[in-house]
Amino acid sequence: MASVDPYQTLGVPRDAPQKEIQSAYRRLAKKLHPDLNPGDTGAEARFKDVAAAYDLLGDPAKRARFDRGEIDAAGVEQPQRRYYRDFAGADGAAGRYASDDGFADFAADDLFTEIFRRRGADWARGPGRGADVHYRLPIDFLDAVNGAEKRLTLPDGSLLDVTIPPGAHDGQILRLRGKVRPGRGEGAPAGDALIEIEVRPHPFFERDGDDIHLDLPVTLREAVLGERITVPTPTGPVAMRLPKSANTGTTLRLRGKGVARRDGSRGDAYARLEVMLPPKPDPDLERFVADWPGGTAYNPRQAMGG
Amino acid sequence: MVDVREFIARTRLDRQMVEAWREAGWLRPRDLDGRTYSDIDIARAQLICDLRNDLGVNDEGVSVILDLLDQLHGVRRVLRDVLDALHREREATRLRLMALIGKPRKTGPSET
Repeated sequence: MASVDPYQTLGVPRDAPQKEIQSAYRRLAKKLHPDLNPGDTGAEARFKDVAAAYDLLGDPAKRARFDRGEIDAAGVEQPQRRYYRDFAGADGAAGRYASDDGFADFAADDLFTEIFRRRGADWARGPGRGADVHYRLPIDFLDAVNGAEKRLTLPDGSLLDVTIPPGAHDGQILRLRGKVRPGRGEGAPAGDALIEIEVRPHPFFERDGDDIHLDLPVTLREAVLGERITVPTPTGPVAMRLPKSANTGTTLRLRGKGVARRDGSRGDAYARLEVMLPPKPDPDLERFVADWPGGTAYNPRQAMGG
Repeated sequence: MVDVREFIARTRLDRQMVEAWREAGWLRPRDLDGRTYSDIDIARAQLICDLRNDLGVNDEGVSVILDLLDQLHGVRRVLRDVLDALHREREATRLRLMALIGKPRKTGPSET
């Protein structure tokens, strides 16, 4: 850097007042300081030039000597410096300062919960931070599917508001940062509440990943004529028309009526039809079927040798 | 590993300043009493000096910058963990995952 003119490096005229030199340096340093650019390796070399130039010109006495040609830019070569980012980027000690607040909202994600867990106690915890506390929170099936707000009463009587993310599943652990057990000493951060969700089964919905399955009873008339029916889904009833001659086992897909996903979309719901005869014998139906010529034409057990 | 006296000598701070910075949470020495410091604390103290003296940042600004830097380094570490894990995967898995990353989800809401 010896050959570079420090005035040029700072971008100021040779007769610039001292104040201007300082503000030029500040402007450049804010942009180039290696610790404010942790990922930019080039920033360090450029910052070094700027710092060296300012070391020379920022001090009026040194600047005057430089202007008179008594010293040159090479005289102020900066010693090699290790920046904070060099340590913060390394493993080990950096755990004291690096913080996971930058993605605390990802904590509902299983993968990140796992990364936090493996990172262990050294990760992002100030001294004296309170211990984590585990809770189980049983919730209704539909609250897990659609998301919900729940209030948990802790053993010490305090209340904890928990947001169940849409699409939460059984066994998922939610991390509520700094919600429990104050740490040691004044101002020490509290521990996290780790809440394991337990999803209660639903009387007729079943879940498979993002999809919902249900067995849907339909009447003989609805099935044969393909009538309009109402299908329950996690978001509420949906009206749809059955295909004509819909059979037991026919599965209808209700697109986007399944489990809420993180990105706002939803899986699908699948309704498997079950054609139901009336619960009690019906003389009219018996008479009709007896007189129905097609009644003997179809043998559903043919493949079984019946 | 250095004790507080050497820490003060190397950072050219005075004791009250070290205490104040520790109370502000800017410095978090290895032990609760603030007796044992290491190289990362020295580098961090130098950064704080740069911010306050050379860059004209006031104390509130220093707190904001440190907080954001700590978050940034936290995110960088996890990102590096994830990349390391990715590199340990078989080539086919890696390519498949890389193809998925940053790709909008088929079922997601359309971007505007």
